[in-house]
Amino acid sequence: MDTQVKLQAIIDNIEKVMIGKRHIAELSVVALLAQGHVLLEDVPGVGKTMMVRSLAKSIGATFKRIQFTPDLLPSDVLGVSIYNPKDMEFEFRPGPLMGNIVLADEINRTSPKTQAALLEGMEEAAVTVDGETIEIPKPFFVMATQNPIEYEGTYPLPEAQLDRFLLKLKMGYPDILDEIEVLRRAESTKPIETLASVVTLEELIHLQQEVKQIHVDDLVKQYIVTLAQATREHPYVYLGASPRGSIALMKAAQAYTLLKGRTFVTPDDIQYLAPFVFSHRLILKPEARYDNVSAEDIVGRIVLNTAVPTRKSEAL
Amino acid sequence: MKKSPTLHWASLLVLYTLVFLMLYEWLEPISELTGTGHLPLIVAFVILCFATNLITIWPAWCNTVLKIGFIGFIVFYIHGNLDPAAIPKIFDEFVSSAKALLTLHVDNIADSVRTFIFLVLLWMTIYLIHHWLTVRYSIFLFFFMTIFFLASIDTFTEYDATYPLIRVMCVGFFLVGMLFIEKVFVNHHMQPTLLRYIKLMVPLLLMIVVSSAFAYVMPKSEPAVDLPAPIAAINDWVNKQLTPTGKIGYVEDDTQLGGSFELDDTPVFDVWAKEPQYLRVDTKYIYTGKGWERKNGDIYVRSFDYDERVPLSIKPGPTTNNDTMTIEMHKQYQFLAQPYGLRKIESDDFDNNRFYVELDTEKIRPTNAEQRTTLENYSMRYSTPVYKLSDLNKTSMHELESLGDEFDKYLQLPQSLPRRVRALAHEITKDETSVYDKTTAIESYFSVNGFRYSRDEVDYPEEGQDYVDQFLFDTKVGYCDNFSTAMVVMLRTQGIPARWVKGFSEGDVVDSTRDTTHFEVTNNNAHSWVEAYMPGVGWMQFEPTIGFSGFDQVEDDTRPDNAADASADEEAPKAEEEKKPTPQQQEQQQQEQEKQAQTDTATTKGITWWPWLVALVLLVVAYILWRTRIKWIPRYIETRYATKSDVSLEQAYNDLLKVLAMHGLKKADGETLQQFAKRVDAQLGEHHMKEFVAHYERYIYDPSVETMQWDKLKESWQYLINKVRG
Repeated sequence: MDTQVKLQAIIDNIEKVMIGKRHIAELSVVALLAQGHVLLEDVPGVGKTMMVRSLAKSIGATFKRIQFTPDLLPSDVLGVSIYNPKDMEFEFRPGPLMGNIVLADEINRTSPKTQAALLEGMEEAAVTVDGETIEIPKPFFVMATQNPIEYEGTYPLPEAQLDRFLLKLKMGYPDILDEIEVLRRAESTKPIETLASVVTLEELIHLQQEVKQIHVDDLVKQYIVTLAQATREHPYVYLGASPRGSIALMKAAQAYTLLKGRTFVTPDDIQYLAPFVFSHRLILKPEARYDNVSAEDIVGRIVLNTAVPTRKSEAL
Repeated sequence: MKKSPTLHWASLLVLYTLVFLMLYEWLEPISELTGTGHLPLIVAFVILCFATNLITIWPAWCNTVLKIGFIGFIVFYIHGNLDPAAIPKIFDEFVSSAKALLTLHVDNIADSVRTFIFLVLLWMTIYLIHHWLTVRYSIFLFFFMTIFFLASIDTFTEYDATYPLIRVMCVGFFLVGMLFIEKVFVNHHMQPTLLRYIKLMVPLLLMIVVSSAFAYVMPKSEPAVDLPAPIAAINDWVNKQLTPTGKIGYVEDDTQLGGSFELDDTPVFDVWAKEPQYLRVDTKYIYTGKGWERKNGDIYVRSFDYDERVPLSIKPGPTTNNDTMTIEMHKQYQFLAQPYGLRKIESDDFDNNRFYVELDTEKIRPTNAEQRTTLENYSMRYSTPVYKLSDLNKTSMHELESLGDEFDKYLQLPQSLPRRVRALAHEITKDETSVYDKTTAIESYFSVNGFRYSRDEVDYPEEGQDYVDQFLFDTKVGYCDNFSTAMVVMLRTQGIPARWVKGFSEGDVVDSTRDTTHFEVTNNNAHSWVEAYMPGVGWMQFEPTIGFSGFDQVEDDTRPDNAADASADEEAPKAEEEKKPTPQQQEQQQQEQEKQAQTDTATTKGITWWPWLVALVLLVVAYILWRTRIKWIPRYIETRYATKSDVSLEQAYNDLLKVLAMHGLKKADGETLQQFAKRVDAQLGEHHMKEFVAHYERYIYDPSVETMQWDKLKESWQYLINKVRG
């Protein structure tokens, strides 16, 4: 099966369940391909869980879900070694993080200690328990959600940790027609049950390797860096995108290009992805909040005002 | 971040009102100091300019036409009194002023053209202010210049800028503050609302009011009495230190001659007389090598009264020349200006003045109760002396030897006088026999030997350098003092008694009736010339300064029809006299004449029109090329590519972008190729730009494509170029 066809099949599969959210599905696949993780920020009930479960089903991966609560301990996430009196040995019981596709629901509800354990596991793709490091099986993809409305009793994630997420997405409500369609489908069966996997895990791992083959020209790299630098110099921004952010943008662009069936990254890809990659990495000054300017607005404005290199002679 | 229209207009209106108030502070002193009238008209023009900058609903050319029309109206109103008959006159003035401008004779520009230029400059200034207000949000430069301007004119002119300065300070601070608020709104993408304005403006206003009130109430120290007066200090500096430029005018002290002069048209007196003539004030005879001095010690005087004969050494002319001259003094000079051939001062019923003549200088002083005084109005009876050429021809050098001792002082020369002066005088006069011929030879020497008249290129002689020697041999540039002193000294070296005369040339004609002409004599008319003694004839005046026409005092009685003894020898001086035009030219008129002459030569030669013509043609060609660029540039580019075999894709892309930009399709900086292509295709139809970009993108961002075939792109490219050409 052709690469693009496989990828489109995943997205089509997700779309069967998630009506009218094709771009979210696409971006989720982009993060999966780029071996990154996604932070979904939205109110409850818009289908965050459904999104992740349908993705897991489409690729035939194990799906784990962790509901974060204030009393959740790191061992509840990573797993714990338990003494087995039968074998007279400690035996490792893997936690819910040891899955292919993990939904970390409402991560801002748990204590920083547990958040750190999750984020470390995400970053390393491995967990360390009792001095023993255990690799998490590949592919490994975490989709964390947080609810932007309720702040009571939450532990907002520090920006340094938000940096670990490749993309930050917002679901948003479906529009009227889509929502009617959602109701219609919910009437009969649970559509999620009917989903079948369209690619195997091996194929997915292969696709992840393919992403790295996508060419990013020096001009495009230059454009990425120019954008990142612009975020650092913007008057409303206290802390701009880090080099890790630039790398993330490049990787995401490569994955997106593969998804679109092209062989080289263009500035259009960068422009499309920049808000999703950069906006959660910026720390804004208080003035921005007074003026009701969001990080997305700032990234959008930077994209609009930064010159796109369109000539080889423009290379630095 | 759009303002509501009301708010937008209100803030603009406030800004423009404030700027107008500031600009008005410029106009008022200008009109007061320069005598520029019609201030309301100018203000109306300013308001028009501001209004057209604000309201841009008309096409741009309408604004221009409106303003030019208004300028035309003002010029027509001021200089033509709205009389259609004046149009040709004004038109002529514009044409001649254009010539004057082209030939750089700025002084000859007519008043109507000055008005025109002033208004155009005002227009440009307002445009600049508009730019400062709406684009730069910064008016500080204008504010600062206004303060500087007001402070300067307050210091250096009689204009009192105390209150204007306070007004400008308040208005300026408010303006700067308000523009700062605007700038904050724009830079920080804030939504300007009335509430925000109020929040920011109230503290601003409060601050200005409080600080102004504070400044007003606070005690201020009185201006220090012994502060250096800036005007006097600067005048001093200008006059003495930097350039040795003094102001022209009558001065008593002539001991240090030299240095440049500035013109000064302060009136000294008015003269009513039949003919224009030089007016003598005094004479000097002691030459020091640097200037002229009076003898020390007692001054002998001879008193006389109204209607008594004035005891002077110049003999009056024949009674047929009798005439009356009236003088009205404006300066507090304690002397009389005397016409040549003065007989008596006519009685005045109203005062008891007496007069005396200082015998060494022949200066006439009016006195009242033994005290010197200034006579403001007086009339004099005089008859201009006339000398017969036959008598003058008879003057011989032998007669000079038999003159009495009293003439020795008119032959005095300093020991330090360089020998070459004497040698030069001898060289000039050796071919002449009569005293008169020798004198006129020296008088006319300067006009043909490379001497130049200039008021402002004259230095003081150096230490140990003789004033006359410097002029005759080193500089050859000077004004009346140089010429007259040089002539006196040269005459004396040849044994001809001579003295140096100071006075005034004839002045400007103010108006004239059949019998009298009214002249205004200003400081510019201060002058010096020469009197030489002709044995058997008496003292006679001479004018060596070039540019001045001298005296019409010699009656040619040697012509065959006048006298039988006309001889060939006498032809020469006669011819010379004829060459001299009527006298009665004065310094300024003379200068103007010189300028006029220059202009005339320029005009008669034809202003060198062709460079202007070529420039005009080039300008027109450039304009046409610019207007039709959308037609010919694409065609040019296309033909250039048609013959090319190895096309640089990037160059092709650049050229395409240029052509599209001419069509109004300019790629924005932040626009990607595909976004731009979408926009272009939406406007030009079809998908050629998209196709072009798809290939070009591959060429730019994908190195696997080594060489790009131009053929693939060519079709789309050509289509786009042609499409733009229309």
